[in-house]
Amino acid sequence: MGTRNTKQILSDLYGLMMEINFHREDEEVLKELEENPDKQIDKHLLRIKKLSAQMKAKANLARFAKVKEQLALLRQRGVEEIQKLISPQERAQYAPLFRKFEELTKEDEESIMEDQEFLKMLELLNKKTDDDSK
Amino acid sequence: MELEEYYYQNQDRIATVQEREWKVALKKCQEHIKWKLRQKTLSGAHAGSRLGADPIDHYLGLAYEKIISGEWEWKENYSLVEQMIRIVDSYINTEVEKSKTKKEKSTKISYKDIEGDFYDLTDSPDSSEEEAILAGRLEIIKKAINGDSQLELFMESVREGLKRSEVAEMLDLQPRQLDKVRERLIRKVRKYNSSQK
Repeated sequence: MGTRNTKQILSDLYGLMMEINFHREDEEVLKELEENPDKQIDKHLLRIKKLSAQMKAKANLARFAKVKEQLALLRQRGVEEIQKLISPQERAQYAPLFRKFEELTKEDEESIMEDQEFLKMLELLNKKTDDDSK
Repeated sequence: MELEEYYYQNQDRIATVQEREWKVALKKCQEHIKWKLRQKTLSGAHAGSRLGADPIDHYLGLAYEKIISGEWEWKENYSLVEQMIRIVDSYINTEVEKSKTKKEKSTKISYKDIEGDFYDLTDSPDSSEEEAILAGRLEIIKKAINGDSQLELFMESVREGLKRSEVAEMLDLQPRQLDKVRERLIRKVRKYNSSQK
């Protein structure tokens, strides 16, 4: 292959090094890191943990804001009006939660993110009101 | 960093990633960036100074930030390291394009065979001066591996343009055993270079 120039040969060598690296066994890579700790990798690993936590906090805040917005909209519409949109069976199922919804204080709102049953009901009511407004 | 389009979708998978998987992906990605930049600078197209930071740090950061924020979709059929390498390649290629055209371009997301992407079609050396520099690099490798018949055969396979599985066949090895050959080549070149200082 006399036509292959030096640039192409070096480029292929680097390409081959990338291909071999891509297929390395995970255990080999971990062993290498254990024998030769890499500060750059440790730094990025720490950053990944930090970023993941920050993004999770943002996602929680966004979810909380959305729930509060949904609550406000449902309150505007009124509980009696909303109850008309759901089946008698659903009404019976969610009766205790409806009472909670009516009695919800500002302080209670802070803890609703942990109440999965309540969030489920909220989701159902929003779906029903969305369907109703179509 | 804001929550982007694929945040929730990516988060489902990220939540299952163990620390050891991140370590492996980061290490492989770091190594990939080193070779990719070396390959790109063959054409003089990539200048780290444009980035205002250590290029390896810069691209390594981008590789996971785009997945964690959800700006890039973590494709279902890609492993973590494959998705990270694809992100890195896309940004390095965009940077190369920018320096070639001197025009800002948006990032194009295209998916091709990743192994094909490792090999770059390059032009001929632009000048006899460049030819001499590149020939010098090859000469260093030649001298560094002198007497090591396996590495000589390895380099001969590269000259022939063979890919990983073909090189392994030529050396009578399993493809995964090439990792040790790669390590030895790097070690010999480093040793040769430091003996010349």
